[in-house]
Amino acid sequence: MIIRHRSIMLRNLFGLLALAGLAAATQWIPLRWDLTEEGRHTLSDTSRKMVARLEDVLTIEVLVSEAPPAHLRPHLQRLTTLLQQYSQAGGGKVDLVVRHPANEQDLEQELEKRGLKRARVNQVRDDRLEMVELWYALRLRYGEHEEVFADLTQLREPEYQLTAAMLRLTWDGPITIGLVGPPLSYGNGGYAYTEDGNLKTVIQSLSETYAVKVIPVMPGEPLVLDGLDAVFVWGLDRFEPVQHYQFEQWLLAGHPATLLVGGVALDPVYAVAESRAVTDVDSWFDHLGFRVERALVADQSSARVRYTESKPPVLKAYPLFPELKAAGGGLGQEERAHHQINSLVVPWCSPLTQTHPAGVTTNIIGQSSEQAWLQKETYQLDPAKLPGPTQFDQYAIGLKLGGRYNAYFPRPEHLPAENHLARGEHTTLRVWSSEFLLTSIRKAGTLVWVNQTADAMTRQSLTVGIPRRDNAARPLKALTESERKRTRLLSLLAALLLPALIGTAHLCYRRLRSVDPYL
Amino acid sequence: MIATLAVAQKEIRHGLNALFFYLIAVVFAAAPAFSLFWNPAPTNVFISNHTSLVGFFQVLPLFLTVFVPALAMRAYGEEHHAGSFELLLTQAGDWPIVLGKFLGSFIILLVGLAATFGLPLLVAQLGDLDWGPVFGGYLGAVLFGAVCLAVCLSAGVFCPNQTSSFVVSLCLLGTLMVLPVPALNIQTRFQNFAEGLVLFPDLGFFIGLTACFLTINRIAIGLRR
Repeated sequence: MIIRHRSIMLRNLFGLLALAGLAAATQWIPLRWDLTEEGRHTLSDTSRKMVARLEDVLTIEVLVSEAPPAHLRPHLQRLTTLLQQYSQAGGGKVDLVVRHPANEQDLEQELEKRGLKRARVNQVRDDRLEMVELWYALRLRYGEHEEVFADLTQLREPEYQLTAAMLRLTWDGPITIGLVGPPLSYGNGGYAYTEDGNLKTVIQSLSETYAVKVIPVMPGEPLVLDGLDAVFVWGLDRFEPVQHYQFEQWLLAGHPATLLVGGVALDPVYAVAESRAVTDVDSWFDHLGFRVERALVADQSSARVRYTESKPPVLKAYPLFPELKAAGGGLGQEERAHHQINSLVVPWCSPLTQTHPAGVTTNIIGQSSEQAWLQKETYQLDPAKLPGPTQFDQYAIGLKLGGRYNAYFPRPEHLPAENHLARGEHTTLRVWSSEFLLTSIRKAGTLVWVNQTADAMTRQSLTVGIPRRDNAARPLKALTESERKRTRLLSLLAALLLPALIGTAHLCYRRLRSVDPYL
Repeated sequence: MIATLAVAQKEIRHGLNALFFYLIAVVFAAAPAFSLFWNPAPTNVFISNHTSLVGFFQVLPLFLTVFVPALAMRAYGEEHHAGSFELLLTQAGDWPIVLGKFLGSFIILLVGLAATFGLPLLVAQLGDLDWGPVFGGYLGAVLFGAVCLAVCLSAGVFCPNQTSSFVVSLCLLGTLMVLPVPALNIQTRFQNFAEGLVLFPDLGFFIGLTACFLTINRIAIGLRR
């Protein structure tokens, strides 16, 4: 009996060891399946191409304490998995190293000399919440350059942020900003939005960092946006259908743009204003996630901004342009383009309304003060004759939209079908409801805004195609309170349903088969 | 094979005849529903305002660590209580008993998991739901449940009654959930599935661990003969 037991034990212990060995062996097989629709856990083609283009060795150092708190472990594991993908995609050009600075005095001293500190992380120990300091950082080194992420808990979009950092390390080519739109004519026969005209200041300023290209949109001419990394666009209501299509296709390819759209057509020289006609472009705006209202926003809390033309006839000073102030919450501080901008004057702007299309995230990045009011038709541009406010309110003037859009404009027959995109990459759009932001540089803040918007857009464009969490978070549709209550009740009913069905089916089966219930 | 199926069939029949099974199945399905739609916490979809089941899959392992021991404690506990364990040993081999008990309880576990499937369907009605992580989460839950079941059944052989089986299983699973080594922590492994990422090492880990505990179960039964 004892011998039999020993034999069973031995045989099964061998079996157990073999199973444990097999399970351990699978840990080195790098097979993986990313089930998310956007491929969030898979390195995007953009990142793959980027690391494949490396000419020198890129060293990724994961600088972590040996035993991170339990709640950080899944995060660290996912990050390591992502970094391994970079390493695989780069062949021998990406060197991934995990180091524990606390165990390497020299390294710790070097990091501290460079101003890198341990991250502060909350940790639950013995039922008490305490703050611990530990190494949880990442360093990318490429030649003499390096990029550091001091606290990996702040890395919200790991692939996007890492690839952007790698691009910053390796990028040496020029970035081209396009200024795209029709040269609008004024009542005095002159044209605005021309290279030598009132776009001159903006071009001069942008040229310090970027290659700038002005693309005048002319009737009957194709819109060629090849080679542009990001664009500022105005006068979209004057584009022809083919040009709309070409511009939309360019956006769907994932390029960023800042749209300058106004609901009121203005001729500031002759002080004439009229509502823009509703056209197909308004339906497209709806599709993108916003609507431009046919009114002007006036804001009496703003500083008085003179608006005069040098050529006769001279327009009187217009004191009511909204001046969005960072301190008052008028400029969204989470928006990178608004970094260190205290205020922005937005001439002749209209209110923007969000339309919340499915799968598109919308954020207000610019809004008037609460003392703003609307001027509706018939517009009065002469401040001396202004009727004054009837109702105060706060109006959205700038929006940031992000998502994957479906094509809205049909493909013109003469354009090739093989290049047609029915659904786009992740696109980020900034929308401002004034067509005068590039031409009416009334304060230094406007130039800073132009440059920082271009900067934010191009960093975006360099990482086109990288899936991001803000896109992954899909919003609920608008629900009434009664719909929410109904869903809550249904959730409990759903929990009861299957056990009840199985119980009933089992009872019926027992009765049919006359099975003794006590068996 | 026939003996395995017979043991599994008996296990399922016993499970479905017991009111206790229906009670825990309803609690198991209702608790995530409460977490997802009623609880005033970020796991609530109405608070997070996103069509995501991350909150559901965060709490599911915790519910499974209670549900599975409650389900598995009867497998051997009932035999010990009725004095039929020795009889069972004479009528079937070690592996048929182990696999039959596992298969029967596993099918009941699948029914319990299926009872929660109304929740993703409801969330899908509220907006555009990414089904990839949902399927990944359920695959992870099935594998996680299988490990829990194998652990609990192994514990059940050694325990003389249902209560001790439940308590020992709960302690063992709790240990596996909080192990400080990420590679051996079942909850850390499960979270990848819940995020829609299926890694072959995770599959190997769960399947290997289940097989290891079933082998331990078989050794324990062999020693009882």
